[in-house]
Amino acid sequence: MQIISVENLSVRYNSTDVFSGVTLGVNAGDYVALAGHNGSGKSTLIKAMLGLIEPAAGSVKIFGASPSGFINWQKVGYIPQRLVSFSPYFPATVKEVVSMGLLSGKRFPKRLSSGDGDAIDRALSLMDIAALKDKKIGELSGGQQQRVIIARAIINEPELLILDEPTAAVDPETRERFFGIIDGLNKNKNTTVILITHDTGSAGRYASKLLYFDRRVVFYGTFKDFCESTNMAEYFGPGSQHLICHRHD
Amino acid sequence: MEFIEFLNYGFVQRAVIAGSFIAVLCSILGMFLVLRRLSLIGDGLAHVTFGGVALGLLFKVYPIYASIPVVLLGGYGILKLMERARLYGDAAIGIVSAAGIALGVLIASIAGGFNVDLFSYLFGNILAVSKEEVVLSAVMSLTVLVIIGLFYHELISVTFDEDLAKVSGIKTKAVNMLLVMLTAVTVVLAMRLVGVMLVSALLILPAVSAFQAARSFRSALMLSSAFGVLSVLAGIFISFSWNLPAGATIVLLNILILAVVFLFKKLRG
Repeated sequence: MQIISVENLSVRYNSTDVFSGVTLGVNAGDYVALAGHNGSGKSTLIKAMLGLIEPAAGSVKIFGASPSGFINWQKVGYIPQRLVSFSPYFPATVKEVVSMGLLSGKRFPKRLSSGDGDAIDRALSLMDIAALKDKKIGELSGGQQQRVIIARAIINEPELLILDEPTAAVDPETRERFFGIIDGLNKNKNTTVILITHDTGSAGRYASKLLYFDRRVVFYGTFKDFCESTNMAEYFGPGSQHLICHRHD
Repeated sequence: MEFIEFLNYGFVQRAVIAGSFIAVLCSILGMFLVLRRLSLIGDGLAHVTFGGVALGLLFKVYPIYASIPVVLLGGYGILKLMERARLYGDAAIGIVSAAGIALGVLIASIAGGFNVDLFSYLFGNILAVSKEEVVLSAVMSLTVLVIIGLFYHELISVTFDEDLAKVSGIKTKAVNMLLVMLTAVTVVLAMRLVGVMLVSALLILPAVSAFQAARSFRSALMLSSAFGVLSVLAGIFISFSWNLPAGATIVLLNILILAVVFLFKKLRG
Protein backbone atom coordinates (compact mmCIF):
# COMPACT_ATOMS: atom_id res chain seq x y z
CA MET A 1 0.00 0.00 0.00
CA GLN A 2 1.32 3.44 -0.92
CA ILE A 3 1.33 5.88 1.98
CA ILE A 4 2.52 8.76 -0.15
CA SER A 5 2.31 9.11 -3.90
CA VAL A 6 3.73 12.07 -5.76
CA GLU A 7 2.77 12.55 -9.41
CA ASN A 8 4.55 14.94 -11.73
CA LEU A 9 5.01 17.45 -8.88
CA SER A 10 6.40 20.92 -9.53
CA VAL A 11 7.11 23.62 -6.95
CA ARG A 12 7.94 27.19 -7.86
CA TYR A 13 9.17 30.08 -5.71
CA ASN A 14 8.86 33.58 -7.16
CA SER A 15 8.47 32.16 -10.69
CA THR A 16 11.64 30.04 -10.36
CA ASP A 17 11.28 26.25 -10.39
CA VAL A 18 12.61 24.56 -7.25
CA PHE A 19 11.90 21.27 -8.97
CA SER A 20 9.48 20.01 -11.60
CA GLY A 21 8.01 16.73 -12.79
CA VAL A 22 8.87 14.70 -9.68
CA THR A 23 7.12 11.34 -9.41
CA LEU A 24 7.67 8.84 -6.60
CA GLY A 25 5.84 6.65 -4.11
CA VAL A 26 6.50 5.62 -0.52
CA ASN A 27 5.09 2.28 0.62
CA ALA A 28 3.82 1.35 4.06
CA GLY A 29 6.72 0.26 6.25
CA ASP A 30 9.39 1.91 4.11
CA TYR A 31 12.22 3.72 5.87
CA VAL A 32 13.46 6.22 3.32
CA ALA A 33 16.60 8.28 3.80
CA LEU A 34 16.15 11.45 1.72
CA ALA A 35 19.58 12.86 0.90
CA GLY A 36 20.97 15.60 -1.32
CA HIS A 37 23.17 18.65 -1.03
CA ASN A 38 22.04 21.98 0.44
CA GLY A 39 19.49 23.71 -1.77
CA SER A 40 18.57 20.54 -3.62
CA GLY A 41 14.89 20.91 -2.64
CA LYS A 42 14.61 18.11 -0.02
CA SER A 43 12.77 20.18 2.58
CA THR A 44 10.57 21.72 -0.10
CA LEU A 45 9.67 18.23 -1.34
CA ILE A 46 8.49 17.06 2.08
CA LYS A 47 6.69 20.33 2.74
CA ALA A 48 4.82 19.83 -0.51
CA MET A 49 4.06 16.22 0.53
CA LEU A 50 2.53 17.56 3.76
CA GLY A 51 0.57 20.35 2.06
CA LEU A 52 2.65 23.08 3.72
CA ILE A 53 3.56 24.38 0.25
CA GLU A 54 1.13 24.71 -2.60
CA PRO A 55 2.54 22.95 -5.69
CA ALA A 56 2.64 24.76 -9.04
CA ALA A 57 1.64 21.55 -10.83
CA GLY A 58 1.14 17.85 -10.18
CA SER A 59 -0.42 16.12 -7.22
CA VAL A 60 0.36 14.58 -3.85
CA LYS A 61 -1.66 11.88 -2.15
CA ILE A 62 -1.15 11.14 1.54
CA PHE A 63 -2.96 8.00 2.72
CA GLY A 64 -4.89 8.27 -0.56
CA ALA A 65 -6.12 11.83 -0.03
CA SER A 66 -4.84 15.22 -1.10
CA PRO A 67 -3.20 17.07 1.82
CA SER A 68 -5.95 19.73 1.78
CA GLY A 69 -8.66 17.08 2.08
CA PHE A 70 -6.78 14.78 4.48
CA ILE A 71 -8.26 14.65 7.98
CA ASN A 72 -6.49 11.83 9.82
CA TRP A 73 -3.47 13.89 10.79
CA GLN A 74 -2.96 11.82 13.94
CA LYS A 75 -1.46 9.25 11.54
CA VAL A 76 1.32 11.71 10.69
CA GLY A 77 4.23 12.92 12.80
CA TYR A 78 6.41 15.75 11.51
CA ILE A 79 9.68 17.05 12.89
CA PRO A 80 10.86 20.18 11.08
CA GLN A 81 14.47 21.24 10.76
CA ARG A 82 13.63 24.30 12.83
CA LEU A 83 10.50 25.86 14.19
CA VAL A 84 9.33 28.57 11.81
CA SER A 85 7.46 30.95 14.08
CA PHE A 86 8.47 29.81 17.57
CA SER A 87 9.13 32.63 20.04
CA PRO A 88 11.82 31.99 22.68
CA TYR A 89 9.50 33.73 25.17
CA PHE A 90 6.78 31.15 24.60
CA PRO A 91 5.74 30.43 28.18
CA ALA A 92 4.51 26.84 27.71
CA THR A 93 6.02 23.99 29.67
CA VAL A 94 7.53 20.93 28.01
CA LYS A 95 4.43 18.97 29.03
CA GLU A 96 2.13 21.55 27.43
CA VAL A 97 4.12 21.47 24.17
CA VAL A 98 4.18 17.67 23.98
CA SER A 99 0.44 17.52 24.69
CA MET A 100 -0.18 19.63 21.54
CA GLY A 101 0.71 16.51 19.55
CA LEU A 102 -2.47 14.85 20.82
CA LEU A 103 -4.77 17.50 19.37
CA SER A 104 -4.69 16.09 15.85
CA GLY A 105 -6.78 13.10 16.94
CA LYS A 106 -9.42 15.16 18.70
CA ARG A 107 -12.69 16.69 17.54
CA PHE A 108 -13.88 20.24 18.17
CA PRO A 109 -13.81 21.57 20.82
CA LYS A 110 -10.41 19.97 21.34
CA ARG A 111 -9.82 19.05 24.98
CA LEU A 112 -7.23 16.89 26.70
CA SER A 113 -8.68 13.98 28.65
CA SER A 114 -7.42 12.42 31.87
CA GLY A 115 -6.07 9.43 29.94
CA ASP A 116 -3.83 11.68 27.86
CA GLY A 117 -1.48 12.09 30.83
CA ASP A 118 -0.15 8.55 30.35
CA ALA A 119 0.60 9.14 26.65
CA ILE A 120 2.40 12.37 27.52
CA ASP A 121 4.47 10.65 30.25
CA ARG A 122 5.33 7.81 27.85
CA ALA A 123 6.55 10.17 25.13
CA LEU A 124 8.57 12.20 27.65
CA SER A 125 10.20 9.06 29.05
CA LEU A 126 10.97 7.75 25.58
CA MET A 127 12.92 10.92 24.79
CA ASP A 128 14.44 10.97 28.29
CA ILE A 129 12.99 14.37 29.13
CA ALA A 130 10.56 13.38 31.91
CA ALA A 131 12.61 15.42 34.39
CA LEU A 132 12.13 18.53 32.23
CA LYS A 133 8.34 18.31 31.93
CA ASP A 134 7.59 21.38 34.08
CA LYS A 135 10.38 23.50 32.58
CA LYS A 136 9.51 26.24 30.11
CA ILE A 137 10.45 25.31 26.54
CA GLY A 138 12.29 28.61 26.05
CA GLU A 139 14.64 27.77 28.94
CA LEU A 140 15.92 24.59 27.29
CA SER A 141 18.99 24.15 25.08
CA GLY A 142 18.52 23.63 21.32
CA GLY A 143 19.07 19.88 21.69
CA GLN A 144 16.57 19.58 24.54
CA GLN A 145 14.01 21.59 22.57
CA GLN A 146 14.48 19.22 19.63
CA ARG A 147 13.81 16.25 21.90
CA VAL A 148 10.58 17.93 22.99
CA ILE A 149 9.52 18.34 19.35
CA ILE A 150 10.36 14.70 18.67
CA ALA A 151 8.28 13.62 21.69
CA ARG A 152 5.43 15.78 20.37
CA ALA A 153 5.68 14.08 16.96
CA ILE A 154 5.71 10.49 18.23
CA ILE A 155 3.10 10.84 20.99
CA ASN A 156 0.32 9.49 18.74
CA GLU A 157 2.49 6.59 17.54
CA PRO A 158 1.95 7.83 13.97
CA GLU A 159 1.85 5.56 10.94
CA LEU A 160 3.99 8.01 8.99
CA LEU A 161 6.91 9.96 10.41
CA ILE A 162 8.52 12.72 8.36
CA LEU A 163 11.72 14.09 9.82
CA ASP A 164 13.77 16.98 8.47
CA GLU A 165 17.31 16.60 9.84
CA PRO A 166 15.91 15.93 13.29
CA THR A 167 19.21 15.34 15.06
CA ALA A 168 21.18 18.30 13.70
CA ALA A 169 21.16 20.00 17.12
CA VAL A 170 21.40 17.01 19.46
CA ASP A 171 24.38 15.29 21.05
CA PRO A 172 25.67 11.93 19.70
CA GLU A 173 24.18 9.94 22.58
CA THR A 174 20.70 11.38 22.00
CA ARG A 175 21.13 10.90 18.26
CA GLU A 176 21.82 7.18 18.70
CA ARG A 177 18.92 6.85 21.11
CA PHE A 178 16.67 8.70 18.67
CA PHE A 179 17.63 6.54 15.69
CA GLY A 180 17.05 3.48 17.87
CA ILE A 181 13.52 4.68 18.71
CA ILE A 182 12.67 5.44 15.08
CA ASP A 183 14.12 2.08 14.00
CA GLY A 184 12.00 0.37 16.66
CA LEU A 185 8.83 2.13 15.45
CA ASN A 186 9.65 1.14 11.87
CA LYS A 187 10.44 -2.50 12.63
CA ASN A 188 7.94 -3.23 15.41
CA LYS A 189 4.98 -1.03 14.43
CA ASN A 190 5.57 -0.84 10.69
CA THR A 191 5.78 2.97 10.89
CA THR A 192 6.70 4.48 7.55
CA VAL A 193 9.64 6.86 7.92
CA ILE A 194 10.98 9.56 5.62
CA LEU A 195 14.17 11.02 7.04
CA ILE A 196 16.02 13.95 5.52
CA THR A 197 19.66 13.57 6.38
CA HIS A 198 23.14 14.58 5.31
CA ASP A 199 24.51 11.65 7.26
CA THR A 200 23.90 8.96 4.63
CA GLY A 201 26.32 6.66 6.40
CA SER A 202 24.34 6.59 9.68
CA ALA A 203 20.97 6.56 7.93
CA GLY A 204 22.06 3.54 5.92
CA ARG A 205 22.26 1.54 9.14
CA TYR A 206 18.50 1.86 9.58
CA ALA A 207 16.90 3.08 6.36
CA SER A 208 15.70 0.50 3.84
CA LYS A 209 15.78 2.92 0.90
CA LEU A 210 17.78 5.88 -0.30
CA LEU A 211 16.16 8.74 -2.18
CA TYR A 212 18.87 10.99 -3.56
CA PHE A 213 17.32 14.28 -4.60
CA ASP A 214 18.84 17.11 -6.57
CA ARG A 215 15.89 19.10 -7.94
CA ARG A 216 14.87 15.74 -9.41
CA VAL A 217 15.01 12.12 -8.30
CA VAL A 218 18.63 11.13 -8.95
CA PHE A 219 18.27 7.74 -7.27
CA TYR A 220 15.45 5.97 -5.46
CA GLY A 221 15.89 2.40 -4.35
CA THR A 222 17.60 0.17 -1.80
CA PHE A 223 21.08 0.92 -0.52
CA LYS A 224 22.19 -2.35 -2.10
CA ASP A 225 20.96 -1.22 -5.53
CA PHE A 226 22.60 2.15 -4.98
CA CYS A 227 25.94 0.56 -4.18
CA GLU A 228 25.76 -1.72 -7.18
CA SER A 229 24.66 0.99 -9.60
CA THR A 230 27.20 1.91 -12.22
CA ASN A 231 25.11 4.98 -13.02
CA MET A 232 25.56 6.20 -9.45
CA ALA A 233 29.26 5.47 -9.62
CA GLU A 234 29.38 7.77 -12.63
CA TYR A 235 27.12 10.39 -11.02
CA PHE A 236 28.93 10.61 -7.69
CA GLY A 237 32.32 9.32 -8.70
CA PRO A 238 33.44 5.95 -7.34
CA GLY A 239 35.00 7.51 -4.21
CA SER A 240 31.80 9.14 -2.97
CA GLN A 241 29.65 6.14 -3.75
CA HIS A 242 32.09 3.92 -1.93
CA LEU A 243 32.05 6.25 1.07
CA ILE A 244 28.26 5.90 1.45
CA CYS A 245 28.32 2.16 0.80
CA HIS A 246 31.36 1.45 2.96
CA ARG A 247 29.83 3.23 5.94
CA HIS A 248 26.55 1.47 5.28
CA ASP A 249 28.25 -1.92 5.38
CA MET B 1 -10.68 58.62 49.75
CA GLU B 2 -11.36 55.02 50.75
CA PHE B 3 -11.57 52.52 47.89
CA ILE B 4 -14.97 51.20 49.10
CA GLU B 5 -16.40 54.73 49.38
CA PHE B 6 -15.10 55.43 45.91
CA LEU B 7 -17.00 52.40 44.58
CA ASN B 8 -20.32 53.95 45.64
CA TYR B 9 -20.30 56.24 42.64
CA GLY B 10 -22.33 54.88 39.73
CA PHE B 11 -19.87 56.05 37.08
CA VAL B 12 -17.02 54.38 38.99
CA GLN B 13 -18.97 51.11 39.18
CA ARG B 14 -19.54 51.27 35.43
CA ALA B 15 -15.88 52.00 34.80
CA VAL B 16 -14.79 49.11 37.06
CA ILE B 17 -17.12 46.58 35.42
CA ALA B 18 -16.42 47.59 31.80
CA GLY B 19 -12.70 48.05 32.53
CA SER B 20 -12.30 44.63 34.16
CA PHE B 21 -13.99 42.82 31.29
CA ILE B 22 -11.93 44.62 28.66
CA ALA B 23 -8.70 44.26 30.64
CA VAL B 24 -9.10 40.47 30.80
CA LEU B 25 -9.92 40.35 27.11
CA CYS B 26 -6.94 42.48 26.05
CA SER B 27 -4.56 40.62 28.36
CA ILE B 28 -5.48 37.19 26.99
CA LEU B 29 -5.57 38.16 23.31
CA GLY B 30 -2.37 40.14 23.76
CA MET B 31 -0.50 36.96 24.72
CA PHE B 32 -1.23 35.36 21.36
CA LEU B 33 -0.45 38.58 19.48
CA VAL B 34 2.88 39.24 21.21
CA LEU B 35 4.03 35.64 20.70
CA ARG B 36 3.00 35.81 17.02
CA ARG B 37 5.04 39.05 16.67
CA LEU B 38 1.82 40.87 15.86
CA SER B 39 2.02 43.20 18.87
CA LEU B 40 1.46 46.30 16.81
CA ILE B 41 -1.71 45.01 15.22
CA GLY B 42 -3.57 46.63 18.12
CA ASP B 43 -1.97 49.95 17.25
CA GLY B 44 -2.76 49.54 13.54
CA LEU B 45 -6.37 48.54 14.13
CA ALA B 46 -6.79 51.35 16.66
CA HIS B 47 -5.82 53.79 13.92
CA VAL B 48 -8.42 52.18 11.68
CA THR B 49 -10.89 52.66 14.55
CA PHE B 50 -10.16 56.37 14.30
CA GLY B 51 -11.42 56.24 10.71
CA GLY B 52 -14.49 54.28 11.87
CA VAL B 53 -15.26 56.79 14.64
CA ALA B 54 -14.99 59.67 12.17
CA LEU B 55 -17.37 57.84 9.80
CA GLY B 56 -19.81 57.26 12.66
CA LEU B 57 -19.72 60.90 13.72
CA LEU B 58 -20.17 62.02 10.11
CA PHE B 59 -23.22 59.83 9.53
CA LYS B 60 -24.56 60.25 13.08
CA VAL B 61 -24.15 56.54 13.84
CA TYR B 62 -22.96 55.53 17.33
CA PRO B 63 -19.15 55.51 16.77
CA ILE B 64 -18.56 52.08 18.36
CA TYR B 65 -21.13 50.47 16.06
CA ALA B 66 -19.68 52.28 13.05
CA SER B 67 -16.14 51.25 13.98
CA ILE B 68 -16.72 47.50 14.31
CA PRO B 69 -17.27 46.74 10.57
CA VAL B 70 -14.54 49.20 9.55
CA VAL B 71 -12.01 47.61 11.91
CA LEU B 72 -13.01 44.07 10.91
CA LEU B 73 -12.36 45.13 7.32
CA GLY B 74 -9.00 46.59 8.37
CA GLY B 75 -8.06 43.31 10.09
CA TYR B 76 -9.06 41.35 7.01
CA GLY B 77 -6.91 43.73 4.92
CA ILE B 78 -3.86 43.14 7.13
CA LEU B 79 -4.20 39.36 6.82
CA LYS B 80 -4.70 39.43 3.08
CA LEU B 81 -1.71 41.73 2.59
CA MET B 82 0.38 39.22 4.56
CA GLU B 83 -0.95 36.17 2.73
CA ARG B 84 -1.45 37.39 -0.83
CA ALA B 85 1.15 40.15 -1.18
CA ARG B 86 3.53 38.19 1.10
CA LEU B 87 4.25 41.31 3.13
CA TYR B 88 5.73 41.05 6.61
CA GLY B 89 3.22 41.69 9.40
CA ASP B 90 4.70 45.07 10.34
CA ALA B 91 4.48 46.37 6.77
CA ALA B 92 0.89 45.15 6.35
CA ILE B 93 -0.10 46.70 9.69
CA GLY B 94 1.65 49.96 8.73
CA ILE B 95 -0.24 50.22 5.43
CA VAL B 96 -3.68 49.54 6.91
CA SER B 97 -2.94 51.78 9.91
CA ALA B 98 -1.94 54.68 7.65
CA ALA B 99 -5.06 54.17 5.54
CA GLY B 100 -7.25 54.26 8.68
CA ILE B 101 -5.70 57.46 10.03
CA ALA B 102 -5.82 59.11 6.61
CA LEU B 103 -9.50 58.19 6.27
CA GLY B 104 -10.25 59.64 9.71
CA VAL B 105 -8.39 62.90 9.06
CA LEU B 106 -10.01 63.28 5.65
CA ILE B 107 -13.54 62.73 7.00
CA ALA B 108 -12.91 65.06 9.95
CA SER B 109 -11.68 67.72 7.53
CA ILE B 110 -14.68 67.32 5.21
CA ALA B 111 -17.06 67.51 8.16
CA GLY B 112 -15.30 70.58 9.54
CA GLY B 113 -13.83 68.74 12.54
CA PHE B 114 -15.62 66.96 15.38
CA ASN B 115 -13.61 68.63 18.15
CA VAL B 116 -14.49 67.20 21.56
CA ASP B 117 -16.19 64.00 20.34
CA LEU B 118 -13.26 62.81 18.27
CA PHE B 119 -10.79 63.87 20.96
CA SER B 120 -12.57 61.72 23.56
CA TYR B 121 -12.16 58.66 21.33
CA LEU B 122 -8.51 59.45 20.68
CA PHE B 123 -7.60 59.46 24.37
CA GLY B 124 -10.50 57.56 25.91
CA ASN B 125 -12.45 58.33 29.06
CA ILE B 126 -13.41 55.29 31.05
CA LEU B 127 -15.04 57.39 33.74
CA ALA B 128 -17.59 58.56 31.16
CA VAL B 129 -18.69 55.05 30.16
CA SER B 130 -22.49 54.77 29.86
CA LYS B 131 -24.73 51.92 31.06
CA GLU B 132 -25.24 50.80 27.46
CA GLU B 133 -21.48 50.69 26.95
CA VAL B 134 -21.07 48.58 30.10
CA VAL B 135 -23.62 46.08 28.79
CA LEU B 136 -22.03 46.10 25.34
CA SER B 137 -18.54 45.61 26.82
CA ALA B 138 -19.71 42.76 29.05
CA VAL B 139 -21.65 40.95 26.32
CA MET B 140 -18.93 41.36 23.68
CA SER B 141 -16.14 40.45 26.12
CA LEU B 142 -17.93 37.31 27.27
CA THR B 143 -18.61 36.33 23.65
CA VAL B 144 -14.97 36.81 22.68
CA LEU B 145 -13.77 34.96 25.80
CA VAL B 146 -16.05 32.00 25.05
CA ILE B 147 -14.70 31.88 21.47
CA ILE B 148 -11.13 31.98 22.79
CA GLY B 149 -12.04 29.15 25.20
CA LEU B 150 -13.49 27.03 22.40
CA PHE B 151 -10.43 27.52 20.18
CA TYR B 152 -7.88 27.65 23.02
CA HIS B 153 -5.79 24.67 21.87
CA GLU B 154 -5.89 25.73 18.21
CA LEU B 155 -4.74 29.23 19.15
CA ILE B 156 -1.85 27.92 21.28
CA SER B 157 -0.83 25.43 18.62
CA VAL B 158 -0.76 27.99 15.79
CA THR B 159 1.04 30.45 18.05
CA PHE B 160 3.71 27.87 18.88
CA ASP B 161 4.46 26.97 15.26
CA GLU B 162 2.25 27.34 12.22
CA ASP B 163 3.72 24.43 10.23
CA LEU B 164 3.39 22.00 13.15
CA ALA B 165 -0.17 23.20 13.69
CA LYS B 166 -1.01 22.56 10.01
CA VAL B 167 0.37 19.02 10.24
CA SER B 168 -1.87 18.55 13.29
CA GLY B 169 -4.85 19.20 11.00
CA ILE B 170 -5.51 22.71 12.29
CA LYS B 171 -6.86 25.16 9.70
CA THR B 172 -4.23 27.78 10.40
CA LYS B 173 -5.60 30.40 8.01
CA ALA B 174 -8.99 30.23 9.72
CA VAL B 175 -7.36 30.47 13.17
CA ASN B 176 -5.31 33.49 12.04
CA MET B 177 -8.46 35.12 10.73
CA LEU B 178 -10.25 34.39 14.01
CA LEU B 179 -7.41 35.93 16.03
CA VAL B 180 -7.37 39.12 13.95
CA MET B 181 -11.16 39.47 13.99
CA LEU B 182 -11.30 38.98 17.77
CA THR B 183 -8.55 41.57 18.11
CA ALA B 184 -10.50 43.99 15.92
CA VAL B 185 -13.59 43.73 18.15
CA THR B 186 -11.45 44.04 21.29
CA VAL B 187 -9.68 47.14 20.01
CA VAL B 188 -13.02 48.85 19.40
CA LEU B 189 -14.20 47.97 22.91
CA ALA B 190 -10.93 49.08 24.51
CA MET B 191 -11.05 52.40 22.70
CA ARG B 192 -13.45 53.87 25.30
CA LEU B 193 -11.11 52.73 28.05
CA VAL B 194 -7.73 54.10 27.03
CA GLY B 195 -8.43 55.68 23.66
CA VAL B 196 -7.20 54.97 20.16
CA MET B 197 -3.71 56.18 21.00
CA LEU B 198 -3.07 53.75 23.86
CA VAL B 199 -5.04 50.60 22.98
CA SER B 200 -1.99 48.61 21.93
CA ALA B 201 -0.43 49.17 25.36
CA LEU B 202 -3.30 47.28 26.97
CA LEU B 203 -2.75 44.40 24.55
CA ILE B 204 1.04 44.25 24.89
CA LEU B 205 2.08 45.22 28.41
CA PRO B 206 0.15 42.76 30.64
CA ALA B 207 1.20 39.90 28.34
CA VAL B 208 4.88 40.87 28.34
CA SER B 209 4.84 41.22 32.14
CA ALA B 210 3.22 37.79 32.46
CA PHE B 211 5.85 36.15 30.23
CA GLN B 212 8.55 37.26 32.67
CA ALA B 213 6.91 35.67 35.70
CA ALA B 214 4.82 32.74 34.42
CA ARG B 215 5.89 29.11 34.72
CA SER B 216 3.41 27.75 32.16
CA PHE B 217 1.01 28.95 29.47
CA ARG B 218 -1.95 28.62 31.81
CA SER B 219 -0.25 30.60 34.56
CA ALA B 220 0.75 33.23 31.97
CA LEU B 221 -2.92 33.61 30.99
CA MET B 222 -3.92 34.10 34.62
CA LEU B 223 -1.06 36.48 35.42
CA SER B 224 -1.65 38.53 32.28
CA SER B 225 -5.34 38.90 33.18
CA ALA B 226 -4.47 39.79 36.78
CA PHE B 227 -1.95 42.45 35.70
CA GLY B 228 -4.43 43.90 33.22
CA VAL B 229 -7.30 44.10 35.75
CA LEU B 230 -5.00 45.43 38.50
CA SER B 231 -3.74 48.23 36.25
CA VAL B 232 -7.26 49.21 35.19
CA LEU B 233 -8.71 49.22 38.73
CA ALA B 234 -5.74 51.07 40.21
CA GLY B 235 -5.71 53.39 37.20
CA ILE B 236 -9.37 54.30 37.69
CA PHE B 237 -8.84 54.92 41.42
CA ILE B 238 -5.67 57.03 40.95
CA SER B 239 -7.00 59.02 38.02
CA PHE B 240 -10.21 59.85 39.89
CA SER B 241 -8.43 60.69 43.15
CA TRP B 242 -5.74 62.87 41.57
CA ASN B 243 -7.72 64.15 38.60
CA LEU B 244 -5.44 62.52 36.03
CA PRO B 245 -6.35 61.17 32.57
CA ALA B 246 -7.45 57.55 33.11
CA GLY B 247 -6.06 56.04 29.89
CA ALA B 248 -2.56 57.39 30.38
CA THR B 249 -2.60 56.41 34.08
CA ILE B 250 -3.58 52.81 33.23
CA VAL B 251 -0.80 52.54 30.65
CA LEU B 252 1.84 53.97 32.99
CA LEU B 253 0.74 51.58 35.74
CA ASN B 254 1.22 48.70 33.30
CA ILE B 255 4.75 49.93 32.61
CA LEU B 256 5.35 50.10 36.38
CA ILE B 257 4.12 46.50 36.75
CA LEU B 258 6.49 45.41 33.98
CA ALA B 259 9.41 47.20 35.67
CA VAL B 260 8.61 45.57 39.02
CA VAL B 261 8.32 42.11 37.45
CA PHE B 262 11.65 42.62 35.62
CA LEU B 263 13.31 43.75 38.83
CA PHE B 264 11.86 40.83 40.79
CA LYS B 265 13.08 38.41 38.11
CA LYS B 266 16.59 39.93 38.19
CA LEU B 267 16.78 39.77 41.99
CA ARG B 268 15.54 36.18 42.01
CA GLY B 269 18.23 35.34 39.46
